[in-house]
Amino acid sequence: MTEPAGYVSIVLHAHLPFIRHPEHPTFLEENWLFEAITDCYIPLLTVFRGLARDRVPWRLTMSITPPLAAMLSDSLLQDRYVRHIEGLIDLARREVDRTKDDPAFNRLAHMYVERFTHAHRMFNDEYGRDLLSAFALWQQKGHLEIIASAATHGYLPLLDPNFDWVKAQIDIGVEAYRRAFGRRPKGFWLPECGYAPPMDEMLAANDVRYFLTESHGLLHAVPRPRHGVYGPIYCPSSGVAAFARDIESSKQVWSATEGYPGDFDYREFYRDIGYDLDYEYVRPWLKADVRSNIGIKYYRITGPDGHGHKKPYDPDRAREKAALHAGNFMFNRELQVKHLRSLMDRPSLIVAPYDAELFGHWWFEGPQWLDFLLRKIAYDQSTFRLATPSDYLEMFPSNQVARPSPSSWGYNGYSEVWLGGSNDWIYRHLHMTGQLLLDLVRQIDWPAPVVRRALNQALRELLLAQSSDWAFIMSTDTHVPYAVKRTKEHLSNCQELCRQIAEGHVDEHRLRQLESRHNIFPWLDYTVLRQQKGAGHHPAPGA
Amino acid sequence: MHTSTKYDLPAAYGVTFLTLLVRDPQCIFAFWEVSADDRRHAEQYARRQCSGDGQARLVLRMYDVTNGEKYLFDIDVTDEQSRYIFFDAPGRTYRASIGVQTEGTIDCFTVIAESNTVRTPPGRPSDIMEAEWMSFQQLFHPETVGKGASPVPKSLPLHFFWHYKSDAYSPGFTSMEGSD
Repeated sequence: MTEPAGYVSIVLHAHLPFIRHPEHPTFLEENWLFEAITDCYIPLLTVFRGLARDRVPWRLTMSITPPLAAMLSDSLLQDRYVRHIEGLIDLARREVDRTKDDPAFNRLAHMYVERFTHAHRMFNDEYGRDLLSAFALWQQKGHLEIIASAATHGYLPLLDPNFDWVKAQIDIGVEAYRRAFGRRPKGFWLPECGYAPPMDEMLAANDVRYFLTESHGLLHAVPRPRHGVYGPIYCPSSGVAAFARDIESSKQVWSATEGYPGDFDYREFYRDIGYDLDYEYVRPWLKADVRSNIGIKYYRITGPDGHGHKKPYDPDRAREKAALHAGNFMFNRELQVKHLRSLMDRPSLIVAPYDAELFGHWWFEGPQWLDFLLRKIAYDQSTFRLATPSDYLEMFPSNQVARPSPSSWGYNGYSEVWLGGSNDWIYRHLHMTGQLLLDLVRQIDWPAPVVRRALNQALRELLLAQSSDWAFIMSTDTHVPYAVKRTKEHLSNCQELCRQIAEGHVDEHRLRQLESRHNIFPWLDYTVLRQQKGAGHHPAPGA
Repeated sequence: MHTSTKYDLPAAYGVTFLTLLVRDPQCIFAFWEVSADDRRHAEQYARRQCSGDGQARLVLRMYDVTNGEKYLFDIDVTDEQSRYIFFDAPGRTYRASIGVQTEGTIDCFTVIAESNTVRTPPGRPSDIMEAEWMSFQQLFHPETVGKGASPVPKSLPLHFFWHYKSDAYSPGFTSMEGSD
């Protein structure tokens, strides 16, 4: 096979914050996971099966973060998802009846019955409720490269000026990966692409070979990288490779103005029967009787006016458009790769990372687009080939040595999404509570079993408080009270546990309650913190 | 926006610290706490040392420590516990002190806490063009460099480095809920 002019890495970043409320029979924010399972994860797995069935060669990179992996493996959430999807099948059947006199809507109601029934069958029967193993299988078959991420998706540049908690997030994230996927990760998704030195050294300590940054992580690297974003650099002291997001391919999918998902033929996300239909009719499917998205949407975007008259969704028309957009994306990459080939001494690498949840949830046709794209790349062109970042490193092990610039893929490219008027108050508490726990770990040598459990739970609580999601949500205008509550709840739980440990009176009843509610990482061992420099050196027993 | 919950956190931790966080190439966020004891001791010390009994103000003092230490400016921080500080030049290294500024016969500054040191991002492509080109192996075994190290290729044209504009950000799953 002749060498292609370039390579393309499509990276799907799958992440949701850890949301699990056994203390309530149903909980609104648990729906995020359920919607993502129905809209994104099962459709993606279905695309992968179809490609394998048709023997289409494909190669993708995907990060599945530890909180998402923990939720996908949690039996309570699995049970609740089955109940949730059964409820939707019931509602969609009622919708078939309600719309029987309106062919355009009736056809869509049938589509939802089929879609939800498929999701139920795949989840329950085909995958035995275990989607994590379903993704892991594609890694074993050599199509998917799954990469690790930070323990609870903490936004690392702001987490701790001493980097002790950055190291903890990375070390525990790698351990969570090893337990979920039975191997060590080659690559690491820095949450929100937030990079600052010396994170690369902490990745190197875990044998991670590469991470991804926003474009200017490489464009502003020192010295200036000769290949711009079209090839990796090695960080000077760690040797970990940094790959950067390509701007053109990102824009085509992400951009609110120019991106594919805004096409007028695609399904309108913001018109959902949870808001559109009679309240009493939809109430049984709403959580806490509050109007919210249910997942049955009948309209297409139709035009530029968000509030204008919307036309019914036409799946055939949308499918045609998804095929057209896949062709357009491929064509643009071919042009880009050919142009770069004339400027570079070797084939370029275009890195195109996206939130996995964009595909199917916000952009309903996203999985279809990906399906068309992967098939077209395999059969309709020979200019470029799909490769993961680690494939590229294998082929091109010699790279420039340069120091990446601190950066993130958040608005304006740095930290202002997670550090502004709405959320800056959290850092005082995160840092102080973190120091409190590290100090405690330093003081305690041979804890009694209950103290050990309390230390482990205190660590769980703090990690959960560190999730970037809470600060992000506070910067938006929906679900803010929930994000504030979660931040305060986990911090206050951690502080309370630390106080009890210091005073020598662990409330075991309360501890059991927290262990069962916030049960992420049941294997977690607080002694991982002893490796942090802020926790000091521990003398040998009897010393 | 804060909501009151049963999980209210302490308003103060009774300790003294000063922390700097980098927000972007031209802005850092400083936050601190000065315990009542530390402040009182600093004021007493300052009055003794500075031979005056004038007003003692709590002050944040900024230094540029990129090349040696250079005093930048003071910010009066009477009742605040945090402040965004803006700079013209990106790519600099800063540190700060918080202390008591006493006006008397000799103006003097008594330090209560020192911050961490932070470096702001360069915010632009580097002018440094020298390139080391190595394999992973060569990076950790410098003795092999020069014995088969790859030739350094020419750079992409400059315009490739200047077109970054962040309007391609993920809308985020968790912000999607709710009707427009």
